[in-house]
Amino acid sequence: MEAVADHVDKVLSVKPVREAPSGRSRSWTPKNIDRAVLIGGRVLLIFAILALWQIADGRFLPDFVISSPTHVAARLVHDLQRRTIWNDILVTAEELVMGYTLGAVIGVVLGLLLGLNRIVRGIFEPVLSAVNAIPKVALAPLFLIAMGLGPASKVAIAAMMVALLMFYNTLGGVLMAPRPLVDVLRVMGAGRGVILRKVLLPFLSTYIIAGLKSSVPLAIVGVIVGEFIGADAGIGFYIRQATSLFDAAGLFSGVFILIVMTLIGNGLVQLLESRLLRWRR
Amino acid sequence: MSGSRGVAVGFYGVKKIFAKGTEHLTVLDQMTLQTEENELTCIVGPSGCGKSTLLNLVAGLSPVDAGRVEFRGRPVGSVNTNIGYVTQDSNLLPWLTVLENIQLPLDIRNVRKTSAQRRSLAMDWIGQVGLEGFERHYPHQLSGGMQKRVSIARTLVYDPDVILMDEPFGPLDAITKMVLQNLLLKLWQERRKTIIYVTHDLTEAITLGDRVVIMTKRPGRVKAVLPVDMARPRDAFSLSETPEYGKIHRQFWDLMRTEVIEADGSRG
Repeated sequence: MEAVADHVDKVLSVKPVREAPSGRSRSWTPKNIDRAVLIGGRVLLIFAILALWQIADGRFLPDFVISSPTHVAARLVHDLQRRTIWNDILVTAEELVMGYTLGAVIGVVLGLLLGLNRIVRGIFEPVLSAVNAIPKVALAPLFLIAMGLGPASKVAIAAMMVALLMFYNTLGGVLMAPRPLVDVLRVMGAGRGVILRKVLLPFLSTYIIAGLKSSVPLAIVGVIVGEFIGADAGIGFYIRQATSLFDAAGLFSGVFILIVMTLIGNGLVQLLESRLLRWRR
Repeated sequence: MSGSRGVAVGFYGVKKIFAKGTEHLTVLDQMTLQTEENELTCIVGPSGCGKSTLLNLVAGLSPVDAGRVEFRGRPVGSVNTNIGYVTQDSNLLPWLTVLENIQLPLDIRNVRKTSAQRRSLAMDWIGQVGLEGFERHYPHQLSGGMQKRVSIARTLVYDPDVILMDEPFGPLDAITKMVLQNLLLKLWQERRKTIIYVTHDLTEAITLGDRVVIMTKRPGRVKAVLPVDMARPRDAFSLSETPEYGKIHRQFWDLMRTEVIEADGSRG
């Protein structure tokens, strides 16, 4: 039976469904053993790192430098019961969402505009390349001077960083647009609008998604740097305060919160990807 | 194949030059040819002789450098939407399913009134090209031959006046190629659409064509236009075994051989 199905698959060259029903069984097939080794290995590695960290604390390095997993965990539990940390989380999350969204929209629109119009591209590209050549973090203090200590300056820094990345990704995509597909649709009688909707945007979705993925950590860098330089709330502010008090446990618990935020961001982009890029696999 | 039913596409003293860096490559020169309505005209010639360029000129996707191309008596100016174009690569939209790909031209051209009617017409064509059960598959899930079937259905579904085909079966294996040639022969037999079919394969040209146009090596011109006197319906699997076929093939090949050999010799 399986041989026949296999043959049909080959003849029709249909790729088999990824999760075969047999995958659910708990038998010790080579595939399942590989999987067990993989997961077991990962867990072991994490424990090894934590154990090393725990041992090193106070023995090889002073506690105010590295703290320890147990201290950090205790600190995190303690912090999360206080109102102020939730305010910090909320402030940073808002800055992130706004900076990320604003940057993504600006970047994609700019990329489309410049990609579709050679003259506009000729005029703007040199300036944008020059801006892109500057380490963006170096510009962050400028935004604080101009926009103050509130969330606006952090949103702006993150937006700038995300926008430049998204711009270059989108532009690259537009310039790679498959000419033959466009021609096929033109012969069918499609106008610019249909070609944009049916060919260009779906084609660009790959590039845009790739950009959105790399933009998550970028936006976090932008917001946190802004909060380091000057702020009165936010996780970056929290980490900076902990640092100035030589409070390594606080620093690490702030970092841990940032890791969780990054993971949530990545998860959301992944969700978008699986919806938008269904046609690829 | 009696008498002329009118000229579908006419090339008159056509010249086409491609700029290749600072070099200029004359692909077509003094190309003159008329193809008849309701005929399947096959154009064969050595690679690089400008066969595919001819189709792009008819489609209005690229302009001539001298002479003129006429479509049903009118010069081709901008993109020609009266044609269907089956290109060498299947050029399906990878983000659309088989059904969506075939329905797309109907939606663009607003063929029929409702989306449901367009959908059922597209479904009908999925049946005609033998792809039942694959409506919801994406192109990457199909074999090369199946992608070709979609590409053909997508073109025939909107019933264009003239169909251009550019070596559509070129990259397929021999068996799949013959299966699809038979499908094309069957579809043509039912409708007798005007088809201009470009290929480098003389066997294929004789199998399919009412008329075979043999082109010279680059810069391409018409060397000979030869009628294929073989009865229809034809069968791609057995045609080459008949004695007439052998005679025709020898006759045509004698004309083509010199061009192929010279084209090969002139390449660096």
